[in-house]
Amino acid sequence: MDYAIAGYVMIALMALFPAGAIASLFVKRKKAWFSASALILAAIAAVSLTLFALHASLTLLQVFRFYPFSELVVALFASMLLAVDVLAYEYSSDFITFSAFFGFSIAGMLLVAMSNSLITIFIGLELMGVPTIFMILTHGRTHTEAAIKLFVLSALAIAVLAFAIALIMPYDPSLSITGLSTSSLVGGSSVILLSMVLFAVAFSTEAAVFPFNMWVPDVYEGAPGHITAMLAGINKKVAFVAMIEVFFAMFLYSGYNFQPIFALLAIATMFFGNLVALVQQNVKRMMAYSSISQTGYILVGIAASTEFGLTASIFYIVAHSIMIIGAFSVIVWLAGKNLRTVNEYSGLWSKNPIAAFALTIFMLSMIGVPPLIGFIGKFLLFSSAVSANLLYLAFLGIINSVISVYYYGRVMLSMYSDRRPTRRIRMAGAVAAVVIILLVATIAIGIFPGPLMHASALAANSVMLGS
Amino acid sequence: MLALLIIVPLIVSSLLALLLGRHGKAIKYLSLLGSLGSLALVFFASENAAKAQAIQWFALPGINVNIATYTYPLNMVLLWLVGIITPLIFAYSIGFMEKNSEQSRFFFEMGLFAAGMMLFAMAGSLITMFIGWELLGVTSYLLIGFWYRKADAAPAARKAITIVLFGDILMLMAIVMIWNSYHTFSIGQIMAAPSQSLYLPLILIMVAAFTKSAQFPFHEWLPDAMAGPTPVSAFLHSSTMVKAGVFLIASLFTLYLDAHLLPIILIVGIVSAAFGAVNAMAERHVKRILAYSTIEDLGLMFVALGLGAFAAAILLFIVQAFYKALLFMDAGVIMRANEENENIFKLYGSKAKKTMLYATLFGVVSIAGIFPLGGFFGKAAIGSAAASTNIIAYVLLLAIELATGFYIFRWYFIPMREPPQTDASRIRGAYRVMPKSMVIPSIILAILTALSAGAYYYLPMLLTRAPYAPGSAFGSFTGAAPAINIADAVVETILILIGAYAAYLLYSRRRAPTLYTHRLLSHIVYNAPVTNRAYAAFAMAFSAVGVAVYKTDAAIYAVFAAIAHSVIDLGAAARKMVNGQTSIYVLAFALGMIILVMLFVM
Repeated sequence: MDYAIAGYVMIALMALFPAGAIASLFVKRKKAWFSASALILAAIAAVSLTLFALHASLTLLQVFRFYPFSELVVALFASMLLAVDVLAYEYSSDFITFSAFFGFSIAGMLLVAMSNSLITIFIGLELMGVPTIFMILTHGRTHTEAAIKLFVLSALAIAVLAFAIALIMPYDPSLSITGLSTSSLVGGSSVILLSMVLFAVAFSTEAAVFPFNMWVPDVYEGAPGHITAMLAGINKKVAFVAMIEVFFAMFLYSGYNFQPIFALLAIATMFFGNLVALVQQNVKRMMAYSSISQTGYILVGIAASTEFGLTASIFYIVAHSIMIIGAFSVIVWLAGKNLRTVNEYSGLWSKNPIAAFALTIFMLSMIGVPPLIGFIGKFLLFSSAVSANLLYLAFLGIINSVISVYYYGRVMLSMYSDRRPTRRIRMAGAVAAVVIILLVATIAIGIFPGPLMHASALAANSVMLGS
Repeated sequence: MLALLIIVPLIVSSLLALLLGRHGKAIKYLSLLGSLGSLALVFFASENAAKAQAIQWFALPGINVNIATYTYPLNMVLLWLVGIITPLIFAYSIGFMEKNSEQSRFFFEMGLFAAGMMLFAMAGSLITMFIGWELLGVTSYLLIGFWYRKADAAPAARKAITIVLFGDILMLMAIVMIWNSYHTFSIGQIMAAPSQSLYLPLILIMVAAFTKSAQFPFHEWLPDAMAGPTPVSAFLHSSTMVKAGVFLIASLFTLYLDAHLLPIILIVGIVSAAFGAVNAMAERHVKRILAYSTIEDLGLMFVALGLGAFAAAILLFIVQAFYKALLFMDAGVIMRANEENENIFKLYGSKAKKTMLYATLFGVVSIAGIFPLGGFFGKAAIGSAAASTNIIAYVLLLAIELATGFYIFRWYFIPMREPPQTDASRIRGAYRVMPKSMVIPSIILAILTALSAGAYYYLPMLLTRAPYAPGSAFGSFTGAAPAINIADAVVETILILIGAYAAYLLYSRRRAPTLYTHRLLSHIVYNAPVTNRAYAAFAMAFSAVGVAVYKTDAAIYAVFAAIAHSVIDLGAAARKMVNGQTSIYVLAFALGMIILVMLFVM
């Protein structure tokens, strides 16, 4: 069967976003833009899932590649973007401007996921990153600092990425990922090694890996909530997708060993995120650090550098997107009600039981309490470390999971204690729907992890096979 | 029947409690119904034959994770205990929580707590066991911190979770190491093939069990956990949570036997029992005395396991559940009647509730180990085992018995005396309006405490079949009834009575002359200055030891506090790195890149 048509449809749908972004400068209708973007995202998710179900695999226009991994990831991004779209619609002060930048960002994200070339990855990351800075900027002067920090660090990262690609260039000017993996990188050259380390650094910045993550807490705290949710839930995952494509499909295939790099980064990131989160009072900032530590867990699977490790990482990427966007949906809503610190969260249980329950479940899942999605993810990650003879990495991961109980526990205890009589507070229907859907996913996938696990395994397998 | 079904009524009722919220009037009865449902299912599930069941949870090539249960005589004993005690505690909670607006949260957490213990008990794979273990830890944290308004509740909950989480880390590490060498999570398969690679995991599991069972030096959290509501204490100390550690060692007993780790268990048990007994003598807080006595009881169970007296350990394991639940419930009743006072010297009893006085006496007599109640058989069996195998342990056990007799009667006599004239009518009134649901469970438990003596005769039948590995050393421990040597029993009983008598003289005679009539012997002893002084010195010596022990305790706590603080300080130092200055961030980026390049390229 010919999947090419479906592939072209995907590319066309993706191209609709930047086109729509430009059009939105002239047509200022909030509802129309929301419905249009939501519909297109849903269509992308649907087409992509269909392709995934058919195990379709093809390369289009030399730079686009559809195979189970990219199809799974595109479906994930599209559905998570839908959630962010809803949040932005509710909370953005200027939705039209937001959706103009958002359109470019979406195109960038999908481009990275579908790319088969280092150049597409480069362009995709840029296309995603730069509009994000403007999205933060347009939300008022208070957010300028966050935007500048993101800008400086993104600029550094993109420069490093460009240099890393340049180092590969002499070996294979095609810069096609599958092409590279089949041809010329074989054999250890220290130039290639340098390029590999620089790739790790470049992706680490967007993925919030210590010590390239310093911008994360400031930006997460300073940015408007729906953008924070996007940064933590999607942008970071895009960086991981790029990382997986480059490292697993290219370097691992050519016999390069990157295990020690990522093991080191994983340990540093887990400890940094968890230890600093311990002393945070502002919940949004605490979640920023917590998401750094979660990055560390994902790196454990990448460090394993086996198919099993990759399966675990893909599973956890999906899991973390679900948990963090769910948690931020609640946190953003509360910040809108001027509730920001752990102490201000007290009594949430009596103010809005569903929100309190949902946040509890998301946090328990991030700790890794069975039978939630986070438990399965961590279980796979640490098992993959053990089977790759990285027993110490599994141990350190366990210790970190336990440290995280303290700061999540503080929020949870606070929510269930009410010191004074309180009035109920209501959540907008659309946001509540997002929270509940993600909550159900967190619990349901925890109890029945089979389908997502097999999907991750299939995706991992398709990456490892190369072209 | 699928054993996993046992926990379903409890989980359903606790979820309903959560969903109904604070407006649900029926929450308490629903929860009681749920716990009775679980009890009924325990009844249906109980067979004497071992039975393994597994439901696949998820699988990947090389990994197969099941929710596996394995019911065999030993864990059926624990399931029965939890099954029987849960409805009683829930019934007691109905009265206890009648004025509290947070019943929904309370019954939700209690139901999950009970379900966690049952899941832990019936687990047939390490993963299933860990789920139950973790559920216990999390819900106990929530329950201990239930009264967050009380100043001591939050620190107590934090201390408990710190120590329990330390145990969780060790447990997970052990599971990872076992999986690394066995590539299976099934406890049965691991038990059937013991090997050298199990040595380190077994040590880790043992320490994890000590944290859960509050053994030295992890015992600190248990007395502090008294900040929680009384039903929680009664539950925590009788059949759930602290019993998990003992049960874990008991179910892996053959492995510990093969690995020659029993002496460590013995020593830790003895030290904890001594710590508990001495602290209980010096303590004034009505519930903390009982908490220290739990540490002692659990220590004795570990002593029995350490001596290889498996059946004796299980016997005490069974009877302790009943008398400790009973004592805590009565402590709650006394506190309620005395405006929630916790100091035993400010608590008073009343003849208005004679049934309660007698019910409590059942518990006191049983815990002291006086014939013919359950406690006697448990403690005498352990004493006899020690007498025949380890004379040092035996001597220490006798001293502990003496102390037990003393402190538990002190605990009984002081709060049970008649109140002073000024408060008499108020306190009598408070006893009169005591909710029935708080009194009836303790009467039932008093009866069960008496009946639990029968466990001594039925134990061999309960444990006839070797649980995991047929033909292993296990068989020789399960076949026979725990031996009780008459001479040892007599010696112990005499020591206990001496302790009890000392308590009677010191606390009952002098301070509450109206509660008990004169008796000739006490009259003579009380009026003889020499004996009187001797007893005073005796009490002084005990308190001095108590103070010394308390100091040691404080030192141990200081170590834990220091660890916690250093972690937080580390966090603060790390936070300083992120101080909002972009140049620092860029520097960190550059340094990180340079270090990575130097490490991996050059």
